[in-house]
Amino acid sequence: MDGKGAAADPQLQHFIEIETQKQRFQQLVHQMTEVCWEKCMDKPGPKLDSRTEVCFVNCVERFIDTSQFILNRLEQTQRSKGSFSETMSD
Amino acid sequence: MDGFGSDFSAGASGGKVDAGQIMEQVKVQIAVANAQELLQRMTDKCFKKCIGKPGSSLDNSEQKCIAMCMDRYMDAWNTVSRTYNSRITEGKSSHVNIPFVILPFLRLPACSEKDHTWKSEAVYRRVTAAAHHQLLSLYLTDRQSRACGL
Repeated sequence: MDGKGAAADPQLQHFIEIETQKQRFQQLVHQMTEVCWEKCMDKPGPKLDSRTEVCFVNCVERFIDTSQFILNRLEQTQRSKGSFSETMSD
Repeated sequence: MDGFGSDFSAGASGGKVDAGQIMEQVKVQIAVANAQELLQRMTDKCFKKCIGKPGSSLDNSEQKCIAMCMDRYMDAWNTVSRTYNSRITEGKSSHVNIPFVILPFLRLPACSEKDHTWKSEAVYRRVTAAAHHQLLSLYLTDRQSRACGL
């Protein structure tokens, strides 16, 4: 019998890893839907028209671009901070 | 341990049933949590869009608006999910890490641990503190984890 409990079970560990990864994805989708709704939806109509749909798609893409940009810039500043004492140049 | 339905004394098969039950329980809990999250945000957005000055009841136009809003919110959710999914599967490398950065900024319902109702005490206890906390601490932000005493 598995006396050590669930944590020692590799199958369960793997399952937990997968599920938490899935959860991160879900949470991000929730958040992006909320943010993009504010940006793209005027008055809810009988269907999602193509212009609004395009806005949602662009919104998600730009959101990802933004977070990627932030990561890159942060990495740059960290690297340059090692040699100089100045921070943002603009 | 305690007598919870399944036969843990059945040797090799007993351990497998155990893990399987836990996994099913966890999947259900996660699905419920996601549905709650979706509902909460949908309610918030549709209230903002459809209710102007709150009257003494929901009139017909408000109800129609809410109904449409719900459908459109689901459409939006599906579009976002599809787009995000294709984006992270096309450029595998760094996008997978993004949630780690964004996660601190997500607003989540406070202290989800209270809402977790496990089908059976025995199943709950099977999932050791470490495994349970690991799952929850990744689901909640650090701030909320501390608030919930995790």
